[in-house]
Amino acid sequence: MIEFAAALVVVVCTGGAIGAGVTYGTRYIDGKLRYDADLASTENKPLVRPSHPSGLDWRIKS
Amino acid sequence: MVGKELLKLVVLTVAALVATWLLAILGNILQVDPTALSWEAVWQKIKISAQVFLDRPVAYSVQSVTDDPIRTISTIVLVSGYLILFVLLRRAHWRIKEASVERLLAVQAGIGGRWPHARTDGEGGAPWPDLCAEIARPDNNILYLLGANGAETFGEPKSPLYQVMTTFHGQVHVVLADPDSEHTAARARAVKANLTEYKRAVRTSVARLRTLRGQLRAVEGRYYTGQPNWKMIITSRTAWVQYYLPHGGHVNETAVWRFDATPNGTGLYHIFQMEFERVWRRCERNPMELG
Repeated sequence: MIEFAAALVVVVCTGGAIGAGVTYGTRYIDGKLRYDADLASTENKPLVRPSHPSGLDWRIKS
Repeated sequence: MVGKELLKLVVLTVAALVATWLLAILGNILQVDPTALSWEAVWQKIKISAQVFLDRPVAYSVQSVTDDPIRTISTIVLVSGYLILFVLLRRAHWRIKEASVERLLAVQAGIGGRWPHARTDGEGGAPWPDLCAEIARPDNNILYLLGANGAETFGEPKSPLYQVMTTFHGQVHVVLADPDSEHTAARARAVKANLTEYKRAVRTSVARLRTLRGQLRAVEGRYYTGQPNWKMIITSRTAWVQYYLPHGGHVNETAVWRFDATPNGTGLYHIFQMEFERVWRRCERNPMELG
């Protein structure tokens, strides 16, 4: 009985740890790499490609 | 979706536990006397362990796993870590591939920047000084302007392009709204401007062009009679584009897009340049009197 309970604890803890790791990691990756992650927050902010054919950098003056 | 995620979790958990069990069995099998270490001894140990496993598989497995609990837990942690990393690396690879496509689209379209407005005051506005520098660049030889009355762009002394047009030596083509057109009256109403003042603004811009022409600049102007829609400022490599909202609002409150020339000539810069030239040709019979 005790062995079964221990095995169950091991299975649940392993599953929980894997689930938590994958969930947190997925959220982090999506937050950093999805193209639309910042869509709402950048609507009123300038977005500029730093390079320009002329060589000017057109950087936003802060 | 939830079912799929749950199934993935179950598969990963089972994989972690099976890997732990396998490593525990392997660890047990490979426990040979270090003083008598040889291939023969290892092979003997494998045969004995295999026999014991076949005789009582469950008991042997349990013993292998519980003999050294610290090692077992460490193995579970390590294997789970590898599996989590594997899953996340696959996801990151997929997201990077997705982001690459988005980036390629922007590059192929020649999108260089977007600003929420073009006001000279206020934060985050489009960089008029950079546009002036682009116009004044030695190897820029064109300046195409399509606007409504033009006064706040180049006509008035305080306007952003007033000074740079004094020193620009390339070809200048300007298309503005015909002050006597009914669409111009509608535009004045839409931006809540007095019509007389609006017409005066157009004439101010035309006067400015006349002055520049008098200074031997290659300046030409034409009028359009339709409704203002695009605002464009185009150089040999860059297009600054805005849109006149049909129901009003000053154009400086609308977003500014910058499009850069692309090597293959198919980006939006080239399309907007062609559009300007199309408007220019269409307004051929409505030239400005610049003297």
